[in-house]
Amino acid sequence: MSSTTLKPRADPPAPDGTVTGLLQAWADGSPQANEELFEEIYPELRKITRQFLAREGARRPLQTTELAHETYLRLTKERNCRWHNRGHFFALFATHVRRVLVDLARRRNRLKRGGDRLEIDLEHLHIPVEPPRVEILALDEALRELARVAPSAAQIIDLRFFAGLNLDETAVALGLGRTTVKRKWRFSRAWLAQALEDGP
Amino acid sequence: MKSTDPAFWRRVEALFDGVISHPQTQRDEILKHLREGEPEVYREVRRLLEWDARGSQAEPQSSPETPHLENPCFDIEGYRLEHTLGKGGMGTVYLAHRLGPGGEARVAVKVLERGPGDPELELFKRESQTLARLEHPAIARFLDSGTTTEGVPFFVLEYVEGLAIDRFCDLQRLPIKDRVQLMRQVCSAVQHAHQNLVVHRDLKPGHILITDSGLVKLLDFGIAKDLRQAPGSPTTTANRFLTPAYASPEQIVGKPATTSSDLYSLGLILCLLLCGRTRRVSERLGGLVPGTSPEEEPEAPSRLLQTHRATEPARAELRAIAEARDTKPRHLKRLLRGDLDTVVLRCLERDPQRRYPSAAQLEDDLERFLDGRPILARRPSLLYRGSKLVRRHPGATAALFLMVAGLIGYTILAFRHSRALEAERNAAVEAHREAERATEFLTDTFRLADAVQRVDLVGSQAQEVTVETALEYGAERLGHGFETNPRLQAKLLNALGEIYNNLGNSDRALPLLERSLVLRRALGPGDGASVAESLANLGNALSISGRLRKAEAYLRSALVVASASNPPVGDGALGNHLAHLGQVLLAQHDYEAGEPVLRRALSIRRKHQESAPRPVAESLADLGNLLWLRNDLAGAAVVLQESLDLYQDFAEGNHPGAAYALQSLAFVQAQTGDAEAANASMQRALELRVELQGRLHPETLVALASAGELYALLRRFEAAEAVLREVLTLDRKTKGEKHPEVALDLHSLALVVFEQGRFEEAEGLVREALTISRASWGFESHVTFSHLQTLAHVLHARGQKQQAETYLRRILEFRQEHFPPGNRLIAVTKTGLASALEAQGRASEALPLAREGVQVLDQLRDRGRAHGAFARAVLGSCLGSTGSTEPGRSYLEEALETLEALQGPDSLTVRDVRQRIQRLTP
Repeated sequence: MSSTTLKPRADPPAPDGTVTGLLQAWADGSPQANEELFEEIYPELRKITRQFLAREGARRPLQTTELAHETYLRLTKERNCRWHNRGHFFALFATHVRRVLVDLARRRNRLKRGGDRLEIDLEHLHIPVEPPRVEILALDEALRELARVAPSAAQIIDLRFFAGLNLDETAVALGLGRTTVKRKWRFSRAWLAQALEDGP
Repeated sequence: MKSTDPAFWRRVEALFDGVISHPQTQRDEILKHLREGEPEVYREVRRLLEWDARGSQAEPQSSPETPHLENPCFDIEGYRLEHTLGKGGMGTVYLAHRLGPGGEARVAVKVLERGPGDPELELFKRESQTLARLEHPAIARFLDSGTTTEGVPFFVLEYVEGLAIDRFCDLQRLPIKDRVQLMRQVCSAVQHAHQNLVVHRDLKPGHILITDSGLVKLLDFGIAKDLRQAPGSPTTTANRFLTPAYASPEQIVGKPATTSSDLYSLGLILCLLLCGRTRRVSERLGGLVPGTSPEEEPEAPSRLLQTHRATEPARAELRAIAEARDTKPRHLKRLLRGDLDTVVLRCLERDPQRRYPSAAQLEDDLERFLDGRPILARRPSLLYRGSKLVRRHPGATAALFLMVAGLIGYTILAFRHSRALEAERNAAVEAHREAERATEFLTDTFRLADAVQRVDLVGSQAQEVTVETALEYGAERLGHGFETNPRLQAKLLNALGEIYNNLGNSDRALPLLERSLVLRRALGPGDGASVAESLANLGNALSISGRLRKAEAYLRSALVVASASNPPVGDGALGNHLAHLGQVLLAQHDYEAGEPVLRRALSIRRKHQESAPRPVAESLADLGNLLWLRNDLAGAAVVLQESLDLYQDFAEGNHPGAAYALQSLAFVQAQTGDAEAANASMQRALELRVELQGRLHPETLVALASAGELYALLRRFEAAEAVLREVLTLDRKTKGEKHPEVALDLHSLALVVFEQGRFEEAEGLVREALTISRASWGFESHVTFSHLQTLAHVLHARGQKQQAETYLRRILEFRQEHFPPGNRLIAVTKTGLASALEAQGRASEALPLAREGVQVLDQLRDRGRAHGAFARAVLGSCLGSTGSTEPGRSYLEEALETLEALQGPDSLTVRDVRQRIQRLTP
């Protein structure tokens, strides 16, 4: 007979304003924490991405993994804290990276700087499209579509693309088994390749 | 235009998953199915697979799933080999065409990878022999065997085109009922293999294919173990071919696989089909592997569906699982909860003994589920799991409670000395002889009956057949093929039942004996002897399982049938039936009814004393035992002496039976006050045992324990304790910590420790005994209840009268169910209960019980003995507490006098009675 009692869910999460506190609240299932966390990391992320673009211009496509890791390092350094679970951090982080990039791309389009397409590198994830890069807005479009029909597949792409998680980290972040994630990843990858190839 | 329906895409994703997790050879099969059934889904899956292939190519490391397509570099006459189908066990399987007059047929050819002279050659050959024996529509058929042009052995099997069972089910979106239906077919195939003494040992979804026409086919008996092989032969080393994900705990830790291991794997497969999940090996093996928790219970399918984290992917996966079963997650959980959960859990019991005894029984339960009838696998009841005994209250006043040496102990004593237990001990020691007997019996009879041609139980390996498999095999064979000769069938069933009885396995014996009885009765009158024989054997089986009253009824009707039989039943059989009935009555402590029965057995056997003296000597010893128990000490001494004289005559006293008689005689002598003679008798019994059976033979150790119990009876408690502790150590060493005999040692030791006033220690000992006995005999057994009674007395002495009362009421209930009214043990229990009630100030409630105790025990001539005296003391207290001080006092004083004469001036009991007298207030 189990003596464990159900813990009442922490009523309105009391985010203490720090990233760690928000992250904890998010892990406990608070949608509000997610938004607050976004506000928290958004400026940092933006700054880093801009620096990247300034440095590299459009000479090479954006390495999202690099971006994510740099952001993570800087956030933890500046705030003098470390998240106990990188997986959790990135699961949350991924969607925000995408938002930042999409925002930047839209702004550029508005400024009619057509030559500076914001492209994402696809090669390191072995997405079989030629050339192995994709414009962020096209990618965003495809992923929205995927999220409508197969949300879990879209989430895996987010994690691997925009947070740079490997398969094991993805599995931990989603609470699924490694083989399951591997299979889902292969599905997502095939779906995405096909969608990008077909065009809008 | 792409579909935007999430359900459509979940289906696509599920099938994509299915295809990529299959080897190449089966992918086409899945896709073929799909193209016909769901063309749109098919188109989408097909395109995604193309992209996936490109993606995989882009990955640096090549996929490990590259199909084997090398062409074979050798020829096999009569076959055209095409390409590799896969590798399994120790061979490679090729797809081939059989060239023959009847046109070309596709077959699977398995070729040993290694060259001639390889030690595994033997294993390979055996596999083909094993397979040749199996003939079942759901097992891939064995067609041919031989050697290649290079001298490498091969064999040919039916080629099965189909899908792994789990994929097939998901692909077809089979609802739960259809899945269960498929599992039934699997069970039937496995049962067939088991009946042919073959254990599959590597059952997993990939080895169970479903063909186009929906038929089940079991594949790859590659590591199948032939039960007829000697332990330690190469098959036991084949463990490395295991698939851990579907292997049983015993296989994982390297123990030999049994039929029960297959049942475990079937449970896992069933679980997977039901809920799409199984627990990982690491989770299932809690406690077996370092660092895992031993408490991990197997998880029921409905519980496996609970998602721990409600992430969107986890929810989507759950929806996909439910959709593949043509239902919704919530509904699926509801469907699995209950019977199906229970069936799976029963298969996944860690202890093989607690799983279904056969695949047929699992199949039966699945059928019950489909028919909506209640299943037979019950969850372990509270009683079975052992209701935790209530914790002691520290600081409870330890009121003195009486303990009459022999009063409680003698249930154990009588049990320990019973013939039934003696037979069982011998069976354990001589199991191999019994195995030989069983094998011999089976070979002879089956050869005789010519029912089995291909199975050759004779030969060099005959002795290696375990009793159990040989018997199971025999029992199964007897089910069919004998219809034309019911007389022979009945005879064989009866003989098998007898063997099971000798092995102490009444569960197996009962159905066989019942069938033999039905058959024999149907044969009409004229063979009363056979009907009586079946009835008597049924009685024996029932007594082994502790159903004494029922056993008595069967034995009595055996006697009725025997006496009416024409031609008359032989004296030998009649004597045996009577002797058995006597034993059953003795086990019920019904000495009054037992005595005439044993005397009749004796007089029948005496007619043949010249030619068969041993049965007479045995009958005399049994009678002596009974007379001792019913207080006829003088009579007992005479009869036991006569038994000893007989043994002296025909065996010069050198017979274990003589030792048995001497042990009983020692107790009689001790009780008549002749301590010296008692010691001498016991000494002689011990010497005989050591001489005839060896120092560590179970019977020798029992004799040693008897010596300890004898000391206790002589009130030499320290000596008794020393001897009993030694027996305990030896029994633990030779038989194991949890052996039922160890429980009896512990119980005797508890009584001796209790008599010395060490109540707490006594409680610990008796509780330990209780745990062991409950595990070996079940809770509902006479031995377990004897322990419980001692526990009740100890608890009473420690001041926990209410708990004592609870236990005593349960004991009373059990005994009233198993013994006839007016039984001695019922009276003794009522006395104990009365005492517990009186001590709680409920004397008026206790009074009728106490009165009844005295009445019954007086009738049984116990007035001058410890039980009768104690009952008087309790009645005296009850009377005193309800205002009848004077009658109470006279009962108490009589009790004191009797007990002082029996036990001396300051035994625990005597002191208790004195205190009772002091408590009487005028």
